[in-house]
Amino acid sequence: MNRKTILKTIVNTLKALALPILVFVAFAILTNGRSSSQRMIMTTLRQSVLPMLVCYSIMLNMVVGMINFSAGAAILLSGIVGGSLALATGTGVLGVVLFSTITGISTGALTGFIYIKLRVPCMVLTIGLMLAYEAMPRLVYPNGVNLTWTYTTLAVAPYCFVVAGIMIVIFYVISNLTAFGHNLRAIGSNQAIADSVGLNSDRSKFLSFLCGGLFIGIAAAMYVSTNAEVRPTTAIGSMVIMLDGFIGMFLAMFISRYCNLAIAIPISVVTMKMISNGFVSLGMSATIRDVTNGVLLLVLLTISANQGLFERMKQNKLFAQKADAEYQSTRTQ
Amino acid sequence: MKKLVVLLLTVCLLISSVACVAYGEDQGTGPSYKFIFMYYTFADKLGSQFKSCMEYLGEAFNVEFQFIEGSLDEEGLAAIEAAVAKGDLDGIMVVASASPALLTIAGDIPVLAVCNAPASEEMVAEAVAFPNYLGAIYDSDYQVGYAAAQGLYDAGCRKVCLAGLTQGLTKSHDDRATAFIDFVNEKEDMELLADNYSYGLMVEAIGSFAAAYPELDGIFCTYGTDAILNAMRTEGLVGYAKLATVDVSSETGTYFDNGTLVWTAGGQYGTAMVAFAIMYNYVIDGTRIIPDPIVSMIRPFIQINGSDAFRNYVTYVDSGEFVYSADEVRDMIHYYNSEADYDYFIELGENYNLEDIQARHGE
Repeated sequence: MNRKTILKTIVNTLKALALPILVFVAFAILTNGRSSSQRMIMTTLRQSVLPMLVCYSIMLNMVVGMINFSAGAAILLSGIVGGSLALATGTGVLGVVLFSTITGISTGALTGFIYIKLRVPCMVLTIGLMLAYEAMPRLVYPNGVNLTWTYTTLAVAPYCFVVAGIMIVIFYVISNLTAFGHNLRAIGSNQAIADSVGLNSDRSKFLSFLCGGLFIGIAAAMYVSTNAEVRPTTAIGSMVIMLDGFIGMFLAMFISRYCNLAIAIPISVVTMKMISNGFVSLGMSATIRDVTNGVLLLVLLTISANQGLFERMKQNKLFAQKADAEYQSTRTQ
Repeated sequence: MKKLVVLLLTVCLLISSVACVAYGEDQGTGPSYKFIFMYYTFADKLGSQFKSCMEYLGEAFNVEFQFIEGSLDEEGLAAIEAAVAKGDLDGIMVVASASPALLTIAGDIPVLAVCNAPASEEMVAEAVAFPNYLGAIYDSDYQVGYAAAQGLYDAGCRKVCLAGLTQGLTKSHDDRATAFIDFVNEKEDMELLADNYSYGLMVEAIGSFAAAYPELDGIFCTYGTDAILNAMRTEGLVGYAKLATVDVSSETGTYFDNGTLVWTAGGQYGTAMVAFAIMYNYVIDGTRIIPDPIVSMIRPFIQINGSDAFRNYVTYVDSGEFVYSADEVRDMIHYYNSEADYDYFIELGENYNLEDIQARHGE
C-alpha cells in the first residue's frame, strides 16, 4: 500500500467518522456531559444493535434497488414463533436464536420466491406481505409470546455486542468476499449490463431476500429478548420495528462513500441513536424533539443527495471557461 | 317407499327445528338478542377479559355476541355493515368513539361507545344527532394519570420521567399523560425531567431516561407490560427508581413485591359489564340509562397501590370471578329493578373500587 492510498484511507475514515464525532461532541457540550457519560454511551450502543440488524437486512435488497417493507412484520413473526418454540422445547436462549433464525430465513425465502415468480414490484409485494406476516402469528400463537427472564439474556450487554460483532463480520463477508455480494453490486449498478454479461438477476435477488432473512431472524431474537412480551399487531403496526433501521439506511448510504457499507451501517444507526438520546438528555419536549430530528435528517439527506453539486457546478464553470477560451482563440486565428 | 322417506325427512326437520328453538329458549333468561362487541384485539389481557365477561353475561341474559376484532376503519365498518345486513342484530357496542359513519351504518340499531373517551366534543355533538346513539361510558383516563402521579409523589419521587403512547394515537393515553404533567406542574418540588411518546418503544425510552438522568427517581408509563417492568431491571433501576403504570401484567406482582412498582390500575372490563347493562336496558324496554348522550358516563379505574392490594385484585378481579355477577347486572336492568336509573349507575361508579368488590364478593 503506497502513501497516497494510506492518506486516502485516513481521509475517508475521518470523513466517515466526522458526523458521529460532531454529533457526540455537540450534544456533550449542550447537555453538560449528560449525553457523553459512560452509561449513556453503553445505552446508545445497546439500543443501536436492533436497528443495525434491520438495516443490514433491508440493505441487501436496497443494493439491487428493492425496498423491503415487510422486514418489521417478518421480525415480529419470527420473534413470536421463535420465542414460542423455544419455550415449548425448553431450549433457552439458543432455542430463541435458532428458531427465530429459521423462521426469518423462511420468510426471506418466501418473499424472494413470490417476488421471482409473480414479478410484482417489490414495494407492492412487501407491503402486502407485511399485512400477511402480521396476521400469521395469530393463526398459531394468538396471544403472542411471553418469555421468562432466563430467555432474554441476548438483550443485555455484553451478549448483544457479541451478536452485533458477529453479524457485522457476516455482512462484511457476504457483501465483499463472495461472488454473490459482487453480483448484487453489479446488478444494482446496471441490471441490463449485468444480465448481458451472464449474471442471473433472479437468483441474486432471491438470495438477497434469503440472506436478508438471516439478519431478520437474528433481529427477531434481539427484539423478543428486549421486549420479553410480544403480541401480534395489525394495520402495519410492525413498521415501527424497522423504522430506525430504515431511516438509518439512507444515512448509511451517504456514509458508505467513505467506508465499507458493513461499517457505514453501524456508524449511521449509532449516530441516529446519539441524536435521539441527545435530545432526551437536553430535556426537550417530545414534539420539538421529533421536529428537530426530522429536520436534521432532511438536512443530512439533502447534503447526501446533492453532495457532488458544487463540484459539478465548479467543473461546468471551468469547462465553460475553457470552451470560451478556445472559441476566442479560433476567432482570432 | 319414496313417500316414506319424504315423511321421515320431514319429521326429522321438524324435530330438529323444535329442538333448536327449545335449546335457545333454555339458554339464559329473557328474550333472545344479538349484540356486536368490537375491540381492536381479543388476544391481549384486556381484550380477553372483555370477551370473557361478555360471554358470561351473554349466557346469563340470552344474548348472542358477535366479536369483531378491529377498529372503526373501512374494514371494521364493513364487518359491522355485513352484520347489520343480516337483519338479526339488536345492539352494537364498540370500544371506540361512535363515528357518524358507524351510526349511519347501524340505522335503527342502538350503538354504545364503551371504554373509550370520545375523540372530541365535536364528534359527540355529531353522534348525538343520531337517535340510535345511546352515549358513551368509559373509565376516567385523566383521573388515572393524575392518581398515578400522586402515587409516585407519595412514594417520594420528585424527579420523574413520562413514557407514553404516540400522541394523537388514542385519546385515553393522551389524557393520562396530560393529567400526569398537570400534577407535576402543580407541585413545586416535583420536576418532569423528560417525556417520550412512541408506539412500542417504551423499553428504549426507559433506557434513555436512565442513562440521561442519574437523578431520576420515578417513571410513569401510560400502559404497563412485562417488557416495561423488566426494563426497570435490565436498566438497573430496581431499588433506585419507582414505576407507575396503567394495566396489569404477569410480572406486576413481582415488581410490587420488590418495591419498584408503586402504583397501577386495571379492572376496565367492569365498565364493559355496566355498558352491557345500558345496552340491555334499551333493547328490552327502551330505557335510556344515559338521559342525554352528550354527557358521557365516566367511571373510575381500580387503583392498586401495593402488594396487598394487588393480591386482592387478583382474588376478586382477575381470578375468573367477574367484578359484577349476573345477579348484580340484573339489578342494573330497569325491567327487573325499577330503581335502576341514571343515578343508580352513577352511584355504582362512585363505589367502584377494590373494597367495594371485596365487600360484595368476599367470604
